Amino acid sequence: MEDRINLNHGAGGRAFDDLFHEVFLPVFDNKYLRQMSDGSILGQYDGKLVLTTDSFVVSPRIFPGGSLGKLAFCGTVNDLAVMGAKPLYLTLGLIIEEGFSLEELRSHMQDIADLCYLWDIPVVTGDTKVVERGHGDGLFINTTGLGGIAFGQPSPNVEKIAAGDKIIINGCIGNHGIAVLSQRSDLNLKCQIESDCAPLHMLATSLWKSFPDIRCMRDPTRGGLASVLNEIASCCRMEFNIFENLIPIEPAVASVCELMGFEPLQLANEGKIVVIAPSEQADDIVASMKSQPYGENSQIIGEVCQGGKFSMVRLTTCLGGERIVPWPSGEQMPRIC
Amino acid sequence: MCLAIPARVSHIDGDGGTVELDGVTKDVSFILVPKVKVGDHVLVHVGFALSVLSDEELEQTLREVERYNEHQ
Amino acid sequence: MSINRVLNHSTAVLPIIERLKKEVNIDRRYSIMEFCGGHTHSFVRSGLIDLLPANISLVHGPGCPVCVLPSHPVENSIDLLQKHSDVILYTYGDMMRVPTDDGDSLLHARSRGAQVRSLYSPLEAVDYAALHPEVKVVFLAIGFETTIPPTLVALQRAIDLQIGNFFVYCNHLDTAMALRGILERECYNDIEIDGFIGPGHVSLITGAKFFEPFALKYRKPIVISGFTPYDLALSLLMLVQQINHDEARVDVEYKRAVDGAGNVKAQTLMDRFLTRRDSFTWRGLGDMKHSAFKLKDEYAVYDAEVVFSLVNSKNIKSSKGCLCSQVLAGKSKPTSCSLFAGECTPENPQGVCMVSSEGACSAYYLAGRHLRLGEL
Repeated sequence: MEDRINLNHGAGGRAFDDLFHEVFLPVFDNKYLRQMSDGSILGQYDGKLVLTTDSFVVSPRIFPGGSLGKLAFCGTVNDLAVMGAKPLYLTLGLIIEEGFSLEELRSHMQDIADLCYLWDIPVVTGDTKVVERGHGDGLFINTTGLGGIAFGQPSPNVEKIAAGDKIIINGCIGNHGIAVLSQRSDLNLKCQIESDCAPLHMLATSLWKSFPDIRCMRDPTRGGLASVLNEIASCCRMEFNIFENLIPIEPAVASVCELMGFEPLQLANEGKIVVIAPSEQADDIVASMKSQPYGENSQIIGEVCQGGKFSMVRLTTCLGGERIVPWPSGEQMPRIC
Repeated sequence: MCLAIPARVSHIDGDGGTVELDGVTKDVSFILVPKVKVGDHVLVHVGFALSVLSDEELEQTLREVERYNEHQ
Repeated sequence: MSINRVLNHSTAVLPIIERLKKEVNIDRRYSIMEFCGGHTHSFVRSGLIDLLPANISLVHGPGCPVCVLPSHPVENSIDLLQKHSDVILYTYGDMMRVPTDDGDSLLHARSRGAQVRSLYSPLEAVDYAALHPEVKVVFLAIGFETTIPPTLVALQRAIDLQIGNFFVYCNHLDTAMALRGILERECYNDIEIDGFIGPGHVSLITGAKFFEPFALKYRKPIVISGFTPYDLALSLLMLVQQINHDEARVDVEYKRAVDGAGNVKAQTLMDRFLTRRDSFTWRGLGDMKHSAFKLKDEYAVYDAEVVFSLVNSKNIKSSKGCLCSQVLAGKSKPTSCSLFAGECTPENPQGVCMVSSEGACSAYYLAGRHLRLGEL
C-alpha cells in the first residue's frame, strides 16, 4: 500500500477493501468484523442496555501519556462505566483527511486495538470516510459504546442526591489538559506532565458493585471539574461545596496554570471520575478506590448542601473564604489579567 | 491587570532563555532585564521577564512571614 | 518552593489578618480602593475579601484595561477583518469575548470566518508576519504600562528585521491618568476613598516614585502591593496604619519586585515609540486628555490606525440595562444592575465588567455577592 490515505480509500470499493484488510482487520480481528457485513448481530443481554457516543478531536493527536486512539477508547468506555454499565461493544467511525499518514493511522488503530484486546471489548462495526485535503483536521474518530446493566444492579440516580452527601475524586486534576496544552508550540513551555487518559471501567464497576447506594458518577472531561459539578448541581437543584485545600493537583500543573492564567478546575481530565455518595459510606469508598488502579490518590473534596434559590458550586478557599465556581464559558485561553 | 508570575532563570541565550517553576520550563525574553543572571528570580508577563526579584527582599519577606507567625 | 505558594498559604495570611483586626480603629470606617483589577481578582479568588474586618470596605477601581476600553477597538478590528481578507488579527485571549456595543465580539467574528487568533506573547504575531509576507498581521495591543513594553519589543523586532507586514493597533492606556481621574472627578465625590492599594505590576515599569505626586497632592496614602493574599493583607495593614496616623505617602509592600525607579529599559522604549493621544474616552471615567497612547508619527507605517484608516469613536453605548460605565465610575455596585447574575453571568456576559475576570461584576459574581442577604 502507499503510505498516505487518498480519496479512493473512502469510496467503498477495492481501495477500501485493501485498507480494511491491511490496517483494520489485522488489529481488530474478531468474529464480528470478519463477517464484513453492514451491521453486526450481537447476542442477547439480560439486563438494561446503555448506549453512549463521543467524537474525538485533539491536537496534537499524540501527546505525553496518550493519543487520539487511546482517548477514543477510554472516553467512551468511561462514559459507560460511570453509568454503571459493563462496556460490551464499541463502534468505530473515522473521518480521515486526504493525505493522512498511514503510519499514524495504524498507530491510533493499534492503540485502540490493544485496549480492546486487554479489556475484551471488541469493535464490532465501523465506518470510514475520506474528505478532501483541507476539509478535515487530519483525523476525527467517533466511538459509540454499548454497555449493559444486569438486572438488579445499581445505576445512577441524581434524584437521590441529598444534603450531606460527599463528593469524591480519584486523583489529581488537570493533567490531561496541561499535557495537551503543553504541546502547543506557541506556548513555549515544557513540563513532565502526562495525560491521565485511562480506562476506568474496572474501578467504576467495582464501586457500583460494593456500594450500590452511590448516587452518581461522572467523568470530568472537557470543562473539567467545574463543568461536571455545575451539571450535577443543576440537575439535582442542590448546592455543592468543595474545598480548595482538598482538591488534588500536581505542583507542575498548578504552576502552568499560574504562568498562563488557566483555571485548573476547568481543565480536561481523561482518567478521572467524580463520585457522589452517602456521607456514611464515603470513607470506605475512598479506601476501596485507593486500593485499585487509577484510584491511588482518591480524596473527598466536598459535600452537597441544601439547595437554595440557585443551584451552584461554591469553593471554600485555603484561607477559609468562599467563591463561586461558575460554568466554564468556553475554550480556555491564556490571560494577561 | 497584570498576571506576572515569579520563576527562576535556568538558562540565558542572548536576549532570551528559559525560566523554571516546579519542573515547568518556559521560554521567555530577557530583553527588558538586561542584567539578569542564571539563578535569579524574575517576574514573567506575556512571555517577558519584566523585573528581577531582589533575593534580599525575598528572604526578608520569608523572614517576616515567619515572624508574624511566631507572634500568633 | 515558589514564593507565591508560601504567600498564598493560610499560615502566611491569617496572622496578618489578626494584626489588621487589632490595628483598625473600630470607631471608624476605612474605604480603600484597590485600583488594579488583578488585585480585585486576587481578593475574591483567594477568599481574602471575606476575612477583612467589617469596617474596611473595598471600592473596586477601574484598573482593568479590558473593561475601560470603549467599543471601537473591537468594532474597528471586526470591520477591518471583514474588509481585508489578507489581514490576520492577533490579540490577547482576554479580548476575544468582549462584547461590542451591538453585541458582536471577535469570537463571533471568528466563527463567521474572520482570521482572529489569540496569543500569549506579542512576539508570536511579529514572528508569524516574518514567515508569511503574503498576509498583513495586525496586533490589537491593549493593557496598562505592564503590557506596553512587550508590544514595543515586538515593534522593535519588526523594525530591526524590516518586517513590513506587521502593524500595531495601539490601545494602551495610562494608569496615572486613570488614578488622577479617580482622584479629581465628580464621579468619585460621593465615595470617600481613604487610601489606595497601588498597582504592583504597573509599578515594575513606572517605579514607585511615579505615584508620589498623587499621594502628595491629594493627601491619600498609596501602598504598592503584590498580588498574593499575604501581600494584599499586609498592604491593607500598612494603609490602615497610615490612615490612623493621618499620613499620606507612597509605601512599597511589594519590595521584592518594585523599586523607586522602575524598569528604565521599558521606559526608554515607551519614550521612543509612543506619544499621548489628545483625548480618549474611557468607559466609566469619560473623556480624558493625554490618557492613552498611540505610536509616534515616524512609525506610521507600522500603525494600523494610519495604514487602515481606523477611527476612534467618542461614543460609548451599552447593552440595554447594562451598568458597566457606572460600575467602573464607582457610581453603582454590580448588584444594582438589573442584568447582574440573571441575564449577565460569566458564562453569558452582557458587558465588559463581566467578561473580564478582573471586572468588578465578574468579581462580585464569583464572590457570590448576589446570594448574600442585603446585597440584592
